[in-house]
Amino acid sequence: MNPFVFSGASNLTNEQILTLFIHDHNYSRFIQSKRNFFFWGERGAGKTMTLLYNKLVMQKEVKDSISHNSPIEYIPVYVSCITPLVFKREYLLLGSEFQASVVSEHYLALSMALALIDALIEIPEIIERIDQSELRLELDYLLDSKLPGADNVLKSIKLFLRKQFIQTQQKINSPESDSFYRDTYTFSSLLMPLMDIFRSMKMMHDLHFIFMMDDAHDLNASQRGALNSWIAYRDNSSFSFKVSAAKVSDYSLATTSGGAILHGHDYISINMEQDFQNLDSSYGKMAKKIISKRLDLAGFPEDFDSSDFFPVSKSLEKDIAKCKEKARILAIEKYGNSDSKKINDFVYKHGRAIYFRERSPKANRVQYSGMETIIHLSSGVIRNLLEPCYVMYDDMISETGSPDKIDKIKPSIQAEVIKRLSDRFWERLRDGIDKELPDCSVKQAEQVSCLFHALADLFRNRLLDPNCSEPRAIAFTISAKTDKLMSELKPILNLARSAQLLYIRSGTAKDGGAKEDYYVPNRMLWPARGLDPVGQHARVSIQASKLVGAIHTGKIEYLPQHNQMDPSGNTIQADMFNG
Amino acid sequence: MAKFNYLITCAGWEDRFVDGLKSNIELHDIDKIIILRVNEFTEKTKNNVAKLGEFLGNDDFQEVEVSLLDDAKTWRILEALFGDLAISSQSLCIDITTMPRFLIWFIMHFSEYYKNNSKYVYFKPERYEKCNWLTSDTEEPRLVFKHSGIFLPDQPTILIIQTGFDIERVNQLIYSYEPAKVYLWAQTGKQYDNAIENINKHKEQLQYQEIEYFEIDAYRDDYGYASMERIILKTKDEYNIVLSSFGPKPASLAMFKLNKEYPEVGLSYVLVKNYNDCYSHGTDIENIIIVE
Repeated sequence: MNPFVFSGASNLTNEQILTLFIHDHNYSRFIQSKRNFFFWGERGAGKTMTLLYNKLVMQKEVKDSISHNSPIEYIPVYVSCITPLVFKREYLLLGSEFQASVVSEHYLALSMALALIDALIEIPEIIERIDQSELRLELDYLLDSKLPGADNVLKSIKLFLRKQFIQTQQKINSPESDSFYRDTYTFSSLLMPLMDIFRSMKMMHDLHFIFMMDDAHDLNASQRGALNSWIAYRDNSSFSFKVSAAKVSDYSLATTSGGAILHGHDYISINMEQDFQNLDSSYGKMAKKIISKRLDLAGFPEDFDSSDFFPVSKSLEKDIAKCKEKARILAIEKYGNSDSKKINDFVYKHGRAIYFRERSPKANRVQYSGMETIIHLSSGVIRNLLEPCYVMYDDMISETGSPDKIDKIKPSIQAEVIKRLSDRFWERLRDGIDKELPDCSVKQAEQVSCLFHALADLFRNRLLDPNCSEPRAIAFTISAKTDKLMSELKPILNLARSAQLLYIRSGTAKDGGAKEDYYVPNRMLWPARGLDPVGQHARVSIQASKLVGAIHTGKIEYLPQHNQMDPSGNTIQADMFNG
Repeated sequence: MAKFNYLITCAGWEDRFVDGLKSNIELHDIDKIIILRVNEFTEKTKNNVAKLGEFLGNDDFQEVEVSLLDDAKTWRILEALFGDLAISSQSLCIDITTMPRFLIWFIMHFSEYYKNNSKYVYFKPERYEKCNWLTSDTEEPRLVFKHSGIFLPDQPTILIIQTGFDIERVNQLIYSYEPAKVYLWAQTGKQYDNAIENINKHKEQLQYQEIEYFEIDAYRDDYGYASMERIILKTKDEYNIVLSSFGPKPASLAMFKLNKEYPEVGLSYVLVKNYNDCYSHGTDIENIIIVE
């Protein structure tokens, strides 16, 4: 098996999740709490894996509590929102919006109830400790139905809930357009009494249910409104929500009553995508651990260094070292020998830039390789990290004929795979992302393409300009915004985000230290354009009007004279004038 | 010469729309013609619609405007059409050649509800052109009203997709449903430049690891019914199943029948706002496919 398999976490077994998960980046402090949290992250950022891992950890804690006769503190309830149920649209045929929202909430409440019962069934020690006949009586009363016979009352209620799903869909799918299911459930009529019943039982008086709502962006508008309303409940003693979602532009935080849930008040936000500048950043460390763990599973010794598995091309390493030395000499000429901070800073900013700058235009492509490069190319998204590794490993099997003969991925294969994957990004742009994204027009796809071509040229001009103060900056912020400009620009940026061509991050602004959003194009774009995907801790400030111009013309004017440094090394002009 | 009370067809920009209509009129005794016109494609279809006057009197057909994007509205228009015309139990010849799949399925729904005696006709083109793109401006996948299946949230999902040349739409389904597994049916036959090329193209471009490929000729025998049924029977107790069709249209008829037989299986489609006009040329009127 290819150790870098990157199938969705929901397709993994419990054992695989426990084995593959990187324990020290687990968010447990947030998940195992009574507060509501939103975990934001694009696909592949590790949201599902994090929730499922914490579910398993909490389940173990429940078992431990039961074995020690201690009260159970938390029950994790994992609810996947990406089931085909959320794509059902018969509600659009109903005459009233109210009926439509009732049916939508019914599906969601039933899904959560089923997940809750499954969560209890998954811990067999629970059923062994409860009075089943008493529980059956209470449930019969609550559901106004005699639960189907089964030895295990939890399995009985599961059968009941599944039957509810089937009956609802049979009724809704009956040929008459206005067919409506009347016996619907809500959070208040099903989930809350159900939780109360369990909380009235021995060892469960202080029980708190943690609903892990995974991929909540897939819920329909009514369901999202309902979920937000439940999040807005003030009393979090018996339940809370840990919601994972892609922070798409249209994720509404409105409740059904017309209000909105507030960050800090009703919930806390966690951004699961991380930017990083070096291997010692938290993402860099986690990425290395992920690769090491995968190699461990493939039979490599536990202390095997993943950098040895993905070695850097010798010539690249040598050439970059030479260029860093050149940068050091230049820095000493500028600042003298005594200010080591300034010298190191100059080498950091310009060492790699000199390598890219001084390459002959006729030279072969850069041999992009090495663990550091692969981690930077992932743009802070775990799936982006595993995919090239998966393909590289596959190519090595083709070359060697057997996985047993693989002790490293040759730099030439790394470079070839990176080139292929990078080319594919530009092919996608050339073909038009309207082919892959819903709600994207041909014109918008062309605008997205123009934007990235303009950014590539801008970043390349900066990289090649010896006077540029931040030559390897490959992220940008937007300055001089107006409502009019942003109304034109934002849809294009959002489409690029949906296509995972662009990521949004939050960082500290230069002036005043306030938080500001900045944009990171997927770094896998850059090898095909001869850029350095190993960026630097800097962002190019681009005026909104220039970006709007770029989506029409594919160009952002670069004015090198504004980026020159004075002899003391200070940038003469702020980058905001550039472009 | 078979007799039909109504011929229902859909205005298209391909040669097959006009040629097919002429052929249907020549081959069958038809009382009345209903032409569905998708309003989003009015500009693209206007030349072909104008040609109708050359061989049809203006009073000989009824034009019904439907919407591509507002499919709930289209549903209601068709419901009213079938109801108002009181075509209950009457015989229908339904030409699916240029009909978007959601319309095919909607019409099949009402045809069945109103107990019509229906025959479905499909004309192949004389040739397909190799284009670097087929469709653009797509919408999110949608489940078909009333044929959306019966799903359980605690079961994983599988997709059974009949694929044509259009990889992006397959990708979109995978992206939306995040299935545990995809059964990808590749069309065999010369017109598809052979199945191997078709499959290879998908294998190269679909970055999804759980795909099982199988080959069928959608123009033959049961239009893929038995092959799809085998997968359904094998998986339906443990999985939610979604069917979708992007290849030759007769397969969508088989999919509808499978939904009728196994209501737990849902039908899904991806709306497309822009097609490549050059995709097909001519009409093969020698080999008409008629499905009872």
